[in-house]
Amino acid sequence: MISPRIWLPTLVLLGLLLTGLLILSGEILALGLPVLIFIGASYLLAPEKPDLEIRRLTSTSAVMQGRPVRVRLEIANRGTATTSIALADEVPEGLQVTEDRTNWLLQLKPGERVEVGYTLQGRRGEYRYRSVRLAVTDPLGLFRTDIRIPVASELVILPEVLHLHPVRVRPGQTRGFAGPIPSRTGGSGIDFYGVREYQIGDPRRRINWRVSARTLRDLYTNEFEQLRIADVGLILDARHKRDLQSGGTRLFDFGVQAAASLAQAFIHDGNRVSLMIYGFGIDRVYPGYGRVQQERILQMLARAATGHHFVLEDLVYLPVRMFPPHSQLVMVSPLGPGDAPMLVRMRASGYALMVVSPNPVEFEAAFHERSPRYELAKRAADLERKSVLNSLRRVGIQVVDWNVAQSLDTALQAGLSQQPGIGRLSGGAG
Amino acid sequence: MSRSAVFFLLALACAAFSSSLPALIAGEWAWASVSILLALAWWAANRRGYRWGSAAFVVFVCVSALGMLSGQPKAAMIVSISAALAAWDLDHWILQVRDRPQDLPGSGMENRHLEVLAVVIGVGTLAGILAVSLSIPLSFWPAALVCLLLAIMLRQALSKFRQG
Repeated sequence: MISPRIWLPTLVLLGLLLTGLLILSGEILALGLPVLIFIGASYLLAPEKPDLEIRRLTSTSAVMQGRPVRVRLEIANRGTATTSIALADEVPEGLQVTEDRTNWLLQLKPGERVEVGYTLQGRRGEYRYRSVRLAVTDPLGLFRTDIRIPVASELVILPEVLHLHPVRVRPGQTRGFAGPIPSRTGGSGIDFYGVREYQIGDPRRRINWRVSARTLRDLYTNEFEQLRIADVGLILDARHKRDLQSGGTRLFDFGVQAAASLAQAFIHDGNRVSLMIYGFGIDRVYPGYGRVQQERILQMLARAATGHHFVLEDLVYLPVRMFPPHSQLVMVSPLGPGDAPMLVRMRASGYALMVVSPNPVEFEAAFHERSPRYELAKRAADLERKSVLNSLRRVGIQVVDWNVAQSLDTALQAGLSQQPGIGRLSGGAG
Repeated sequence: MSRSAVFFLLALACAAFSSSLPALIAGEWAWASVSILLALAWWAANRRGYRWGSAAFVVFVCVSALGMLSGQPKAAMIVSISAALAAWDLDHWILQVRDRPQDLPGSGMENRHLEVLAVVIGVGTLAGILAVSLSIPLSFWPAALVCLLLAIMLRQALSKFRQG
């Protein structure tokens, strides 16, 4: 390839040649000789395609949003000639370089290996690096070869996880291992559950002397509610029609953040947690425990994106049966008027249901210019939303109306403390 | 100041003085001042990061050609155009590497560039001086033929590179 720089000396040379020819001046022709030799030398020194080996190394393949990632490029010259290159790494859109640069001028001797690098940050998502760009020029810069070398790698920016206080849930059925969730069965625990007849082996300090004193022959023992772990299914609403975008931020991102934070909180308490993302398709992370499961969920959430699918436009086809019966479900969704009936049906099927709903009205209001007409519209939208949320609360669904300007933890603590009689609405004990 | 900047300044000074010194000696102040002012303007533009090198180089070529036609010393005009060409190249180089000064130390690129440029400009200047020293009488048509051949060769070379 010819660099645009070559045109000026070429035009100067042609101009001198033509002028010398027209006025029959050998001196003017002679003036063109240095320019001609300049172009000729550049032509002779024009580079061949370099034989380079390039590797891209990132300090981590997955990182939390907001944390820096160091990207290094290792370049080795496998050719037999010294090569001068201008190297530029093609950073995927959405990542911001925070330290150093992504382009370098390098001269590599045969067999030489150099390393360059930069630091970047990015928003939640999956980023694929594809190639690096090289420009090889002759020493005078008139002839240039542009090459794109594929160097594929992947970087996942995980969603931000907020620390939450323990989230109080009361599913109808718990699992057999000790945990933090009241299981509706008597045994060892903290909260008083009931009184039963004394059985051999009961510790004496558990005998309820007041009740025993009412009878002559029998002794009675206090029972406490067993604390167990539970199955928790997180459902993230990724339907395009429920997403809003204002001021460069998306409501869906808050939903993802909430799902990630809740997953972390439930897993930290020892529960078995699964995730379903309902949008363009249905993506699932099957139930599991521990850090590995948390990593799986975060990876899935990092890739989560909204989408539109005619079949999945409503929640009617939400495959609830994929979750264990009577388990705890947590739906993260801004909710709309048509969503309530399906949630009521889920509750009626015996699932304990919590809805964490990022408030779309307040989200949009934060970026909207105030006017009397807007205030009226906002009030109408508020009323409609409150009506939907109240219809859910009436059937015993825990609802957390989350104004995303506030912290999720505050919203959860405030929202869940207001829920009346959650325990009484659930089904049988497990 | 980098080595390229020093050599750029030297090339500019050389171009300005070689085209203006004979005029200064002959007392043609207007002619001499054109080259000196042009060199100063070019240097200032380079310092401020303006890309005026191409225009300045073309003006230097015109000044050299006019000097050649107006009877100024021929060797001085050849030196002037060669030095202006070197200055044009270094001007571009300096502006290209200005935003990445940390790449240059140790890379050897600057040295290689300066070495190649020095050899090319030196050979070109010598060839030019040799050409104006020799006197070969040529009529219009042979000269036109030579120029046509040169133009065709240049075109072929460029098209070959474009395909490559």
